[in-house]
Amino acid sequence: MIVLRQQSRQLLLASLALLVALLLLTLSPTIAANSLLGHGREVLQELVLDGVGPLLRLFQTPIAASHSVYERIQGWQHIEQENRKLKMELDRLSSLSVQVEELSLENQRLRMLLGMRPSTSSQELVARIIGNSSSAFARSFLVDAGQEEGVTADATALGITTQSGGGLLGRVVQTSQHTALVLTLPDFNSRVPVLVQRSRVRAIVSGRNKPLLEMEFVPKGADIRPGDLVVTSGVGGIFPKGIPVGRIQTIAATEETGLFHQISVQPVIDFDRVEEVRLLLQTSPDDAPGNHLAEQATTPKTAARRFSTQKIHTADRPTQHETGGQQGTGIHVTQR
Amino acid sequence: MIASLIIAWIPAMTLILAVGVQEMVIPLEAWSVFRPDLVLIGLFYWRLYRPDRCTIPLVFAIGVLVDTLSGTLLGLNAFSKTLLVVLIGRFGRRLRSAEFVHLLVGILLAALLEAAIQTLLMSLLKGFYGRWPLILGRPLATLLIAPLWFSLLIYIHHWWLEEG
Repeated sequence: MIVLRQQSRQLLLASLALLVALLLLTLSPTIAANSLLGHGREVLQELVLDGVGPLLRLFQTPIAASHSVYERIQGWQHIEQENRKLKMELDRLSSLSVQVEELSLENQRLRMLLGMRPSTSSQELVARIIGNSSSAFARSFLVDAGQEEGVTADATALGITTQSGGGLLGRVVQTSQHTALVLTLPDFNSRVPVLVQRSRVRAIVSGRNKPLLEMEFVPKGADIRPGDLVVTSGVGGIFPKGIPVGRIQTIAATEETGLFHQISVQPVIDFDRVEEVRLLLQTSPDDAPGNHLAEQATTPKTAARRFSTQKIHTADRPTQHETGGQQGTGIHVTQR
Repeated sequence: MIASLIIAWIPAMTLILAVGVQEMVIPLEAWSVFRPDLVLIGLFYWRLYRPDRCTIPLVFAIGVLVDTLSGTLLGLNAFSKTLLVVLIGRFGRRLRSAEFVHLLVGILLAALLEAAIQTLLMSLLKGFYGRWPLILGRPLATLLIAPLWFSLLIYIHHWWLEEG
């Protein structure tokens, strides 16, 4: 009798769990983020991420330590040669930074002349990848920076690898106090508005859970070639314009592909080797990094990790005329 | 008192450890084709030998944890793993006294069934887009790693749960 009761209790529990899982599966994608259910789902995900973050960091520590020891040993062998190379690079970049500053000032003056709306400025934050969930159905990274560090949903994530330089990695889709989930480009749900840098042809790059990305909606006859660099177009307002995404690898135009080309794109970022990401934290033009950096960097650790391209943003900051002449906003820009 | 409380949670902790190892220690892209499902092995073992410590709510929670961390549809792993655990509980009793080779066949079947359930659900909800090497590679990798993970679980079971 007791066994039967236990069995029926188990069956009831299992049915309930399966029903809840099915409801989550079917309703989850359709729940609006601002609804009560959507908020509940976000809170659940935040709790899980917050709870698991320290555990993953614990796993990461010995791996990172062994990596750094290996890298240090390797680095000793080439340290002198690298030092010389870096000094030359620094010389080149210092002259380039002066040029950038000049161009930014010129850009600001031209924007003023045209009466253009100032572009939003962004601060950058470097975060370490502490979780990688590439499976048959999803491709995402968990990074060790969250709401406390100023990361919000839709923040752009750039990859940092020594081999391939920088490029678009994806965007933040979920944040918790100290962690954030980054949807990477190869994920099936990833869609990025792009343009071909050389010919300015617009398209959408989407993930297929494969190493190569797919470029969609490029009509047959468009001016594209293998090797062309594909950058973000800025359409949609999530990704800033001009971030490298990848290079066109193959172009197919058969009857089966209909009106459009079938194009595969090799991502700029090597997703096998990326260990750190740069997160672009969106700030409004009034909220220029120079004004609030000290306030936002609440801890020395955060302050050290966060850096801003202040020189550029100082030049890019709106004037009182552009922001509607608000007094007392803390913006002081010399008009040139 | 505290020790017995901790001991009661050992299966759950091994499952969380499995999630951590699966999502963190084997994260390289090169391994994604052959990334084993350590959680499934853990669920298989504990459901067979300590069903009292591997309850349906725990399995459901572990599934949600995997879903949240992997960024896949919320409920996918929760559904497939709960269903598998129900099936293991229903048909797995004979395996309890079976030889290890038979257990391995059971694990392979469970992994294939899970892949089939997940592929079916994703096809229905999102349209099929899974990569076949990834879908079939995972059960194979699970089978290959199962003896090692099983040995670890047997060790934990005997030294911590039975002795404790």
